[in-house]
Amino acid sequence: MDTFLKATAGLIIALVFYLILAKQNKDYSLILTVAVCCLLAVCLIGYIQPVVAFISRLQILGQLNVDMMKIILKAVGIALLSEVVSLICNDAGNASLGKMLQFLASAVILWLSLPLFTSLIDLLEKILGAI
Amino acid sequence: MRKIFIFLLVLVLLPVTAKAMEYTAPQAPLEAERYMPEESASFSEDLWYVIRSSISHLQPSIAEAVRISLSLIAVALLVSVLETMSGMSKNIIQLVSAISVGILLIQPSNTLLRLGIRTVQEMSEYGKLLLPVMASAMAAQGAVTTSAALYTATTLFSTVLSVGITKLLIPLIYIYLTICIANSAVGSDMLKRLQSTAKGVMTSSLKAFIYIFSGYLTITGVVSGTADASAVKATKMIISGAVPVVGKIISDASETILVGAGVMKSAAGVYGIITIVAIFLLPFMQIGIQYLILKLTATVCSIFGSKATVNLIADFTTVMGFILATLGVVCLLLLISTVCLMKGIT
Repeated sequence: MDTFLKATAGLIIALVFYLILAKQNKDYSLILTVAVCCLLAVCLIGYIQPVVAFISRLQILGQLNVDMMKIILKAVGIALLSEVVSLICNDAGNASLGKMLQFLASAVILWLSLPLFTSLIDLLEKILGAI
Repeated sequence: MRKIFIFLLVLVLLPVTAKAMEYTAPQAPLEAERYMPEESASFSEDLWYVIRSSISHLQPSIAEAVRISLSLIAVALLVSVLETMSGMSKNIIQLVSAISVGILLIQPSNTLLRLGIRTVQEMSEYGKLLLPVMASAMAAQGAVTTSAALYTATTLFSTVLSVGITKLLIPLIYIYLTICIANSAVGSDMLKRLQSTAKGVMTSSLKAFIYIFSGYLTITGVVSGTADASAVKATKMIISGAVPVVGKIISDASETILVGAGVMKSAAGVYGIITIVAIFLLPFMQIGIQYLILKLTATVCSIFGSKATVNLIADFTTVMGFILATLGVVCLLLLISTVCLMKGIT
């Protein structure tokens, strides 16, 4: 809770600095944004780790396929990262780069999920073939 | 002269050999025999024995259902992180989530569906053996019209339901599940409409079937039961009036025979009911456990999961509920018919 309150306070201070810097030098304000995002990502990892550990425990108890969990974890990570970077690109005034990154992220996620699609189709073929 | 004639008639009738008819219920199938008591006590005790032995075999089903539930919660937790996002990646992740949930649930759903079909077929096969016994015992009791009407109705409806389930409802269920996964992945209005149409067709057809069957039984029972009761009464009056001196005795003796046939019919019917319950109960509970745990999982996932993922789990729960309803309908059909045949003429 303390970490969250400190992070929120730091964010507000960074926002004030951003507003001051933006009037004088937009490049520095963008660098400030990137730096604050990275710091917040470090804080996020601290909170996400126990959640991921809990999910791993559920995965072991549920005997869930490890490959499926890895695919979903990677996909979620790619989606989060692409969203944040895309927003930074929008802030920098380059929406097209941000959009392109989102397209790339979607393509990578789809490529990662190909084994899942294949498994589902194989299952459906097996079931429908038995009917 | 008249007295000599009656004396000679009695002399001729006396040496006629008597043959007893035996009405016993068919042997229970091997699968169901494991859950039935070795020695029959009372109806309630036998029924309780069947329930207890079925419950004792539920543990693997519970473990499997809990395992699937934990896997679903893990997937829903991971995907829930993206609820705050708004980009294209969110839709792609939703697609991945739908495929993952589909993979986790389609195999167990298929296994339980196959179990449901097997149970329906076993109950139908046993009904084909039990009902002729009950119908002949009922006819021997004097209810010829009622037994024929009930037997015809049950055989017809049982066959129609069995064929309808295998040829129509099962493929419809698979189509419904495929549409549900696609709708969860893509989120299209057209798929949503197709999904609700398929669900409507499945539930309406089952409801219509049970309404028609109950209506037919009610009408048949009232009309033919009244006819049979009048016929038996008339026959007894004729015997009593036509045969002098011993007419009343013969009429009373025939009533004893009818009561005897009724007792044997009741014994066969009770065994038949216990057997039907033994065939039906364990599969019903196995599917019921999966249904309840999936419902609980959907409730838990709704706290943090995405709407599409939760709806997909709920759709699979609906399918489990439908399989339960189908099993219940077939069991009810057989039990109602058996009880009606046991009840005899009013």
